Amino acid sequence: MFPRKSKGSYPSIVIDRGRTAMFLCLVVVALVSAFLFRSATATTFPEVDKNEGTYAAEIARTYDFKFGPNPFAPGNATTTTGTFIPGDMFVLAKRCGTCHTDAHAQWRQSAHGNAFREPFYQKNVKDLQSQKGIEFTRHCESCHNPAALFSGALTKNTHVKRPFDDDGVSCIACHSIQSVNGRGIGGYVMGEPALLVKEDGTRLLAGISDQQILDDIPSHRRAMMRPLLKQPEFCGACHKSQVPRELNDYKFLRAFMVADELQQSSFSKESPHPYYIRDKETCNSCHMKREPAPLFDVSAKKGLLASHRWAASNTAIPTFYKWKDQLDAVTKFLEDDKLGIDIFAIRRKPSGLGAEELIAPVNRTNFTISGGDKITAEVVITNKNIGHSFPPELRDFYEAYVEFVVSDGKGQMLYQSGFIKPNGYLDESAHNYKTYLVKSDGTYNDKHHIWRTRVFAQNNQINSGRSDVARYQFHVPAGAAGALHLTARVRYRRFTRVFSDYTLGKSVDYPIVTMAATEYVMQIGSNAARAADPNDKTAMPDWRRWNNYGIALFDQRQYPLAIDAFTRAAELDEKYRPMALTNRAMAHIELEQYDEAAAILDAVVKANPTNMRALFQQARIFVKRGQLEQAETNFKQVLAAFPRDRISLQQLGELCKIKRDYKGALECYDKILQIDPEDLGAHYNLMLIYRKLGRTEDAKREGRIFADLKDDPAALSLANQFLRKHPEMSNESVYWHVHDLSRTPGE
Amino acid sequence: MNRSVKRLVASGLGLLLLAPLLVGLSVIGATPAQQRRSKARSRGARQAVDLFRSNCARCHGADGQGDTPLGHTYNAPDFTDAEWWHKHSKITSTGSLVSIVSHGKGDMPAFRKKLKRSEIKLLVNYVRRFRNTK
Repeated sequence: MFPRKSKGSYPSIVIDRGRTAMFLCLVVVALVSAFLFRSATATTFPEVDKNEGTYAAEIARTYDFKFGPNPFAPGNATTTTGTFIPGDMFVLAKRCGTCHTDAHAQWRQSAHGNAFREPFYQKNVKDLQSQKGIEFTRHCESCHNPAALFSGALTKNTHVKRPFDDDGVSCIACHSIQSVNGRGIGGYVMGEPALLVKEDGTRLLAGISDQQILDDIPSHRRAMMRPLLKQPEFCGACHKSQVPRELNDYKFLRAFMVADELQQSSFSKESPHPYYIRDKETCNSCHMKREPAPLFDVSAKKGLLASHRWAASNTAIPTFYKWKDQLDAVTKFLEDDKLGIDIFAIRRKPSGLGAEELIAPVNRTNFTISGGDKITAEVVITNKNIGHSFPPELRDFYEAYVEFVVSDGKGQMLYQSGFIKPNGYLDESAHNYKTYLVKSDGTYNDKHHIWRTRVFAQNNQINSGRSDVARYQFHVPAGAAGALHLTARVRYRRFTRVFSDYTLGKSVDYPIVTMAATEYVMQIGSNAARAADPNDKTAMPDWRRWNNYGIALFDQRQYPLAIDAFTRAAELDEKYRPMALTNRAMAHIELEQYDEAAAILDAVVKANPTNMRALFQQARIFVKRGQLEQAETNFKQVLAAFPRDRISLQQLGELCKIKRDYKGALECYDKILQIDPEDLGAHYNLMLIYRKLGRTEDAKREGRIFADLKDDPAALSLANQFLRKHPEMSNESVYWHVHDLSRTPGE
Repeated sequence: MNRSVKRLVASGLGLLLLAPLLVGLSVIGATPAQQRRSKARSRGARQAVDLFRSNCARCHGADGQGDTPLGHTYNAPDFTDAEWWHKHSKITSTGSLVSIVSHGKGDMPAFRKKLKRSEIKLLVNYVRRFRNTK
């Protein structure tokens, strides 16, 4: 069975009983594993109805069940019956538009209405089709063209007619979804489309006329509207994404998870951990604000309708189709105070041997600069009013970056970073919020071929309510006089130039939106501190500027500096002080300065025993000190106020595990999985607990899931090799980095 | 100017001066019942506008001229065109219009199950008012 070389002769085949037995064992284990895996899958997805004469049977006759019995894999979407739905049941949106005139007109220009047909998606999905096969596109179409998926059109040599392709995510597709499972990539269950649902649950579609709908509005409402549609988890069924192993022949790779980010942000009111307290917002309250219905949509109330434009950040689709209204709506949305930008501080190092000094906030401080000084400007960018990360979702081919310009008093530009080059491409050394995808051969995956991705070499973003610092270093020109103008802007382009050129087959300028801008003018010579204008209600107060700076430093793991910043924030605002002190304690904890942290937190909790944020941090210290009872009390108190706080659930689960309270631990991790079924830590801990409980099969299942979800440590070296070849990306991937503007490009 | 003419002019002027006073008094001095009726009338007018905008304006336009995409598709009439009313006098009586809104006609759907009879009457009265707006 195994070749063995014998000295001085040709290799001969020798039967080795021990090795043969081992090999047979391996084969048996593999077969049993495959059977178990298949069984597990089969129990989740019922066999397709193959009864003669049904639509499902007809489709199943020639359908390629490439990924097992679930016809819709490798996406997560399914139907209430587990089988195909005839394509003609997906009523075309045009029909809905007869009565829902405004909703239809808005949707027609939206990213949803064009989710399948628009050229950028088409290019990408056709690449997948040609490189791997149409069956793999089920992963994408679960959210871009559900009718194509469920009608069984996504197989070779299909005869399914596809009038629905123009509709993408159509009215009937969204409004027929019955439930969601939190998994993303179509983590939903599609009901059989119906125009009327009678009180007894009877679903009616075929032959239903508009008159019948008009005659029975309650049944139409039952068919179309349900509370689920207004919940963030509903949107999360598609605005959460991963690349499964079926698609990349590798392993699970998380792409994005916007709904989970919202759940953990201050806007959900479900977490005590955010740095600011905000009013509750949902996906709908931001992206479906009511707007005038000039076409007298039947659903309009007082002339207003929940917008079906879903204005967000896709400027490319309306630019391509020349839809001014949609482009204006999206641009206005992006420009509407979503981000903040603040030239907060400068670090000045005089020429010669002088020490570097921090001048912050720069406009509130007396200072002097001279020709030859080395200046490092610290620009704080804040995700102020977005309930999820910025930029959200597919950062590999979106382009968000900071533009920084230094010019003299005459308007002559002296230094620049984050500019668009004459060929339309972005300056490679720009401070950016992007993901760098690396293929298995170590090359840059810049065309969104996600099925070829092995590792993320960088994944820069600003989470909701958090901040970032961009640092720009330059020399004040020797002998210069007058003023230096520093301007900074956050700019956003859909898509990267390399992707739009690749898609369109020609070089075209697509819009770049300025989401936030600021300017600071300093004199070469002495600069006097400027007092805050008490009448300027839009200006950010100094305590919040210090706090944002502190948050940025904290997220860049500059904990001692963050402590200083939070201390200043606490000094400047009495109301925010408990939060600022807790922030400071968090930085002390990161530095393992538990006594300092405990002293601060004890005082904060003493002043307000219901400060959940402080109680949680206090519990972390209790755990470190082995005071498990006190820690448990705190975590339970936090969870009583925030029952869906997955971080507290994780901590309490850990505590229960240490105490061998496995029932309590199981409860915690089960609750986490109800929020996010792909929570890595929960699966890992469940695996350990099931092992302890002797539940071998459950432990194996959790182990398999954990092994698929966890990062591949071997991929790190691939990322490092990639970054070595791309120094500008390497610089950007480091938490603390400086953009040296004195260098000439390419140096 | 003879005496009778003088008297007529004098009384006319007197009325002209008194008119605003009388109107003011009628408002101030309206009985609660009259005030209720007046409020109901304006409420009814508002309701008619809302009903027309949410049920009819998609095709007939807010101004009744039928100049909307759906109006063009279904060849909706121009309610402000006196000529149209004259030509279609057989179907434009209040009774006929109530019947058309209730039971539908051609491409126009029936509203009898969606709207109450009182609402349909309000709508018909509202539509009739377009007649003299051009």
